[in-house]
Amino acid sequence: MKKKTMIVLLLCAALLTGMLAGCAKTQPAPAPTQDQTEAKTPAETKPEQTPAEEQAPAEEQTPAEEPRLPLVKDGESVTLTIGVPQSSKVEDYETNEYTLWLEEQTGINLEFVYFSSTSSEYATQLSLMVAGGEKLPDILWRTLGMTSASMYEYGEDGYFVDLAPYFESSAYYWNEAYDNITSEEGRRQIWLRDTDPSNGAIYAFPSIQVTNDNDLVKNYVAINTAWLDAVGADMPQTTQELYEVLKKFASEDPNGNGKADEMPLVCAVDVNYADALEYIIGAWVYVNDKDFFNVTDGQLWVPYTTDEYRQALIYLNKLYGEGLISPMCYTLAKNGELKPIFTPSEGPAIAGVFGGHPTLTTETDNETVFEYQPLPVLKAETPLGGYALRATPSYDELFFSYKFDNFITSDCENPELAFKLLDFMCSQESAIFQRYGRKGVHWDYAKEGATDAMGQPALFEVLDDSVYSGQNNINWHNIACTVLPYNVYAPAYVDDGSYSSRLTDLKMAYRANILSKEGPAESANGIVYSTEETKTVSELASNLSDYMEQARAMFVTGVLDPNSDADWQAYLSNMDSQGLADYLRLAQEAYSRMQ
Amino acid sequence: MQTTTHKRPKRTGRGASFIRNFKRDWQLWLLMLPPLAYLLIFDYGPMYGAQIAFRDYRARSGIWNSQWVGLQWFRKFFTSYNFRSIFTNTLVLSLYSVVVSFVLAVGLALLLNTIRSARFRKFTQTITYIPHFISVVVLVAIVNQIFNPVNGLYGALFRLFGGEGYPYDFRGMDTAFRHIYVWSGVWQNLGWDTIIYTAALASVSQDHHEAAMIDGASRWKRVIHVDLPTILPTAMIMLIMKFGRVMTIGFEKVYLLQTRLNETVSEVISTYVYKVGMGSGHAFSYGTAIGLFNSAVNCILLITVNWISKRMSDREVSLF
Repeated sequence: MKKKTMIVLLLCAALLTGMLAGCAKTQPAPAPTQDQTEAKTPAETKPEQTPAEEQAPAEEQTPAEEPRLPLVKDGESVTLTIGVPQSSKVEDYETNEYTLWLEEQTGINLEFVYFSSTSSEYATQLSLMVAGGEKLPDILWRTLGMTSASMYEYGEDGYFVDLAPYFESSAYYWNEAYDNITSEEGRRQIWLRDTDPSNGAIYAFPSIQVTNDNDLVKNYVAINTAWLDAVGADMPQTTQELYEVLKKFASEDPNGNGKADEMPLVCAVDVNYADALEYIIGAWVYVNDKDFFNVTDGQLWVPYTTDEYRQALIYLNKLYGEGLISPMCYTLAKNGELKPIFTPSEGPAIAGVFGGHPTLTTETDNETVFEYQPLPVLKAETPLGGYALRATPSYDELFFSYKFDNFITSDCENPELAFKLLDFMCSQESAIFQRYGRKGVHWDYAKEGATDAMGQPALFEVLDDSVYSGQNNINWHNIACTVLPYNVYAPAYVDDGSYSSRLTDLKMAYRANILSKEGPAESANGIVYSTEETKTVSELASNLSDYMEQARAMFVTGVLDPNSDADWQAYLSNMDSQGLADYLRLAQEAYSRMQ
Repeated sequence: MQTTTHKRPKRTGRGASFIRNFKRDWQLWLLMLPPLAYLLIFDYGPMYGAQIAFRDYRARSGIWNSQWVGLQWFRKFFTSYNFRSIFTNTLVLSLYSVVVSFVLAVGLALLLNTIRSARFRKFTQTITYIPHFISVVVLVAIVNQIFNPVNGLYGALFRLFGGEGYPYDFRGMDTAFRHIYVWSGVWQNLGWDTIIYTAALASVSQDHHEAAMIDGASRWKRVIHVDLPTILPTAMIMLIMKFGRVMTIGFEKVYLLQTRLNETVSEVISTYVYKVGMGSGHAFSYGTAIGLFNSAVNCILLITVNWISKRMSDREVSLF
């Protein structure tokens, strides 16, 4: 009998251990050291007073001098550990040429700790390390879009070092690059969001990119112009015209191979840049899943519960029901899976309207990609629609993206040196090296008079773009933390009809298309919440957007019927029961505070 | 130990003989130390962390200093809009897969046993259990590749047999998810699951078979009346043990097979725990609470199945 009870207990024990993974020891995080606290100027401690002007390091009167290289004293051997996301394109960080160059220039020995290449997995790994009391790497590199909520939380819990004093005392290359960013509004946004509202600390060393084409477009949506010619249709400008064109694509064998192998519309709703359905919804009402809210005259509102949104769903539901939208829109999960659909290795094109990044979803040197042109921003069906979808606001017709994703952790023994390393990586040569390769081999400074694709003076020209994409052991494929002002981003452009120049032309066509229509005047991008709000908000936000996206898929594919009032009401009440009202209220308060 | 006022306490019965045994065989008892230590350190030790299900855990404050919130997280889970669907999905998926794999494994073992040529039997056995060694991630990649309507085997077969265009994409069909999950599991693990039954069948006495043959039993009758009863106790134990893992099986596979269209049936407790507990929200306490609930349900299932087995079988087959 006793044996039996024993076995019961053991079995129960074995069962219970499954869910214990998340628990762990405490890690006492060191309080900020004395000199760090003292180094703060009065301006730093009063973040509520327009942090933009007062904290922007570029505005400081006494800029740091150009650092003497190497950064460490002669004969000294210092090692810094760096957490990096794994990359399929970088063969080995340890022996990578850029790494070696960095080590040679700075005199610092670099060691790497590897994280996942997807943002949610990266966040999971980091939170497990913290919860498990593990030693963090000295520098966390490219945390892939950590939310401000987690950033402030880690910072306030003492896991990240406050970088504000270092931006004053040790930034040189950073300042140099930062001065080249012309947009005042963009600069204001960066410091507004990087500063923890509760204590004025700056935890993140931002990555900033100013670009002309890449990522300006939130959703790349293209239409096959060869097919348009084949069925004798004009470029669709309205949703009705799009519907008719898709009908013809489905029935008239536009690729002319005698088989019904055409997919009138195919995309991948879960892949970045590839959600064509969202692009089409924009004709009724502007939606930007990343922001969740729209803004009119300072008032936030939710597009997903409007009648306009419902009309868009009815339209998509009709298209799906008639087989014009491929069900694969919901099962394609990676850019790699989109490649054979956008650019089949043999045979004619099979996609009519296609959602996907023009280079990430293209087989190398494939010609099919040039059959496509951007699908015009569809004409507004309602007063709320017809906007160009943009990822985030753009300034001076350039796309301005920034992420707060490089941190120095409190486990770092020499945060100043770590900061200097980050700073050095902002230097021009480093910034170009980590994208293009060796100076003099893969790129060089441009001759006088060279211009880029937008006709602006170019700083450098590419001699050999073989290492820019694809796996190698030379560059870091733009994951090194740097500020990329526009001049460091855009190489000289020569219209020589080569494959790469034609691809550049295509990208510029996307750019012209998206700029042909105004974006909404205001956007709710990157609202800054207080620390108390963040916990509630991040949970509400993730539940609501998960549910919204799931329901959208169900409405489009006909699991739920957007024409049925009962289904629509059930959707609305589910949104309500998940705290939509609370989320809106908190977001409105935070948004109003920021103005 | 029982004592009375009249007699001096005396070591009698089990206590005394246990100590005697222990003294005599202490070297043998010593062998139990490593597994015991393993259980204590890795299974019982971490259990103190389960209390974060009742606290508002923050890594900075640690387990003991996090605020005590009682049943808040459990209440939250039970009242959440998708609780019912997650719970049903978990149960349906687990039971479906346990029942199918159990019945088929026993069936296949009996079939294999009737093969006369030993070489052919060994060969078949090897072929069927080799897929067991494929990692789940690879298995899902294979499934995804096969069912790709554009360039997968499924799409190619569809066109070969005269289909026009592309067949329906099973991977995004909510009604297909459970079948894909279960039957790909059968393909992968069926052979492996039969091994233990095959071993049990080897112990069937030839005498019984001969006796049955003299009585004129057909091959089928012999399988039903000789083979099956022999392996039934083993099979029951295996079934009970399967129920011990029923709520946790296949987390990776479910997670990897999930798409937005099948989420209504593919969101199970373990994937949900992963998403809320480990994902970007890192709500450890909430995740632990759900995990604890999951284990409780599992425990109940296990005990129920064990109890049923004990009642139903003549020989009281049970695990405890």
